[in-house]
Amino acid sequence: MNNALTRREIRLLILLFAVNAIFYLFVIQNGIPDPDGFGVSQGLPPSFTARVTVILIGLILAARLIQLMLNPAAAEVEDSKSVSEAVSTQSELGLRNTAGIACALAFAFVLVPVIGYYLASVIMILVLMWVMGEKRWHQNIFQSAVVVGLIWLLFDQVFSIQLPLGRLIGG
Amino acid sequence: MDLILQGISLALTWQSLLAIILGVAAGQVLGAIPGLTASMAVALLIPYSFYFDPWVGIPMLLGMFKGSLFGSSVTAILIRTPGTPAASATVLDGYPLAQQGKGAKAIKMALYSSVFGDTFSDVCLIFFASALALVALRFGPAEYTLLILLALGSLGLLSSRPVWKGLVATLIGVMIGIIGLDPITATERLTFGNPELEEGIGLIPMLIGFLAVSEVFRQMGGSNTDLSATAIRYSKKRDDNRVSWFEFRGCIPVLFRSSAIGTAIGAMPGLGSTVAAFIAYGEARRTSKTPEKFGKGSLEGIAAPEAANNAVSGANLIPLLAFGIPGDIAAALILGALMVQGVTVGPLAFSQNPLPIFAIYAALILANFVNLAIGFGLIRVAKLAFSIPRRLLLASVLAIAAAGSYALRGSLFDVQLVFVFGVMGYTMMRHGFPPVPLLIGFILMPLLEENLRTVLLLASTYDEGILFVFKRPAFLALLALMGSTIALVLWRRRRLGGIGQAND
Repeated sequence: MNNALTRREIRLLILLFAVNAIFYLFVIQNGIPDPDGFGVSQGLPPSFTARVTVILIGLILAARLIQLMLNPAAAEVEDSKSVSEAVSTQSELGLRNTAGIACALAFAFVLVPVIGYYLASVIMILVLMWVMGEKRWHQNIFQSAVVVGLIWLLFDQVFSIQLPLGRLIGG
Repeated sequence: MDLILQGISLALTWQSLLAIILGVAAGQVLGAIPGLTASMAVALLIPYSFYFDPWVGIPMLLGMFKGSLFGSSVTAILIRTPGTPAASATVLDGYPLAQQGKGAKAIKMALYSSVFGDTFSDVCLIFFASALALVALRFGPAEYTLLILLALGSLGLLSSRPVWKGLVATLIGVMIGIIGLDPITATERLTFGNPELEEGIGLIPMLIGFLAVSEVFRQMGGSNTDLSATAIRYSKKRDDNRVSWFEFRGCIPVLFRSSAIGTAIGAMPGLGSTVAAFIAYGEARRTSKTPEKFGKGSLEGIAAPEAANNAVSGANLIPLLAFGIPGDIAAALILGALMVQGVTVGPLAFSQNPLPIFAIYAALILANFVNLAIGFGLIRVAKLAFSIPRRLLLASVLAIAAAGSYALRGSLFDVQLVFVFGVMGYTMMRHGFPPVPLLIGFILMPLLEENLRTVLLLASTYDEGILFVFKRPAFLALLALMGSTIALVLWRRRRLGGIGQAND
């Protein structure tokens, strides 16, 4: 089990190392254009912090990797609790979590921009309640309408904050 | 003495007392709503305050400011959703305590600590405003850089085990903080042409996404029995629902230290209550006799951030009252309200017309007692509000999170970010990466970068270059203070190690 944990952590470290390298070589290179001739005397180039951050992440990952390779037993003692916690949490990932995440993402990226916040929220709460085991539709509809009604009362009526109405309703 | 009594009497009328009660109550409720910050709460009330006499309107604003800071910790403790960013450090120990059925105990500790921190900084404001403001104004970019570097390093190291995951999470937070326009050259950084990213990532979507939404995603996998049960369970044991004198007494050193940290940070313009709360939490954990309890429901872990973030509110008024310089946005709003009401603050006010200053002092102290009294009411309301089934609460939190993140900037993009960060936070949680160091890195990065780059710009104007910082007495004093703190920690560790070996 301990060997499995060490191997798993090494795989995670290698994956992070690769992502970090791609970030340094391509993302920062293309995402932060430094003005020509901009140096320390002008208060550091714009990409300085990003580069230092990625280098520091790389060093931390490398140090941990070396530590694991030289002394895996010691590293496992330090890490066993969090990794076992992570593994136990991971095993809980099921259809319910996946469906819930998919529903929430659909709410934010599709429903709210198209049909607006209020209608989208009613649908999201309705579906999530069903996903989480409440199969009585009439109760789900009532409860989601009450929650969204309270949010409307608070944001729209009390604070005059108009939440998005969506392309279909708001134009 | 007559002047002091006259000033105090201005704020001790029944009208101003009623205004404070209304302000505190409104602040507590507004603060509990995710996305509505203390400054937003004050901004919402300002237009109404102009209809009143200055000594009704100003106490109401001050009350609201104080109330909103405590209100935000209620949702942070019960549903892991800080009402304002200042309460995000309270989540760390408040939420685990609520999960153990001790939510009422956690909120009461937060309430006592809030009032303690508030009163501490108000007393400092009353007696040492001018002196503290003078010291604070000696802090320049070099001192800020040093302070933030230490905070970032120590919080990254202390906030997780294994250490490497905490450090990597901190640096990921720093990286997310880089997104947006460069503060000096206005070059776009990691925006890839998306205009929504030019303003940078908002703090509210980050906090709500990483803390609240990720937790909702995690809890969705629970059993049907869990999800249909009451959202927040309260233990029936009396001791689990109150803070005993013995428990409170144990937190007094932490309360004093954290309030002092909050006051010092509040007196320095720009750092703010969120930074104070995290620094105080790190310091409390470092100096605690039981650091292993932190993150699992330690009362000290609630007392430290709450005392510190509330201490900032009073201390923010130090540069405001002494020099007319607001320490943060909320203080700037209060300054605006004072000016419109015809109340002058600043160095001349102390000598020429000190009555309003004394009236403000009286209103601040009064607001603390009102905050304490009304806080118990809020605890009862929260108990009722969260007695709904867990599955309804989880679904509702997502809807409220979306509304709260939209409210601050009116941006649909922020709503989408909340859910993206929720997925990120959930994935990180599954792999054992703590979300809090990431948030600390994100919060401190702009401050660190801005100050570091200003230092380098300043250095180019000196013959000795960057070494100019060693000519600054404040920098040297801070360096000596930090050096002695680190030495003390190392000595303490070695001593404890020695004791451990002797026992073995």
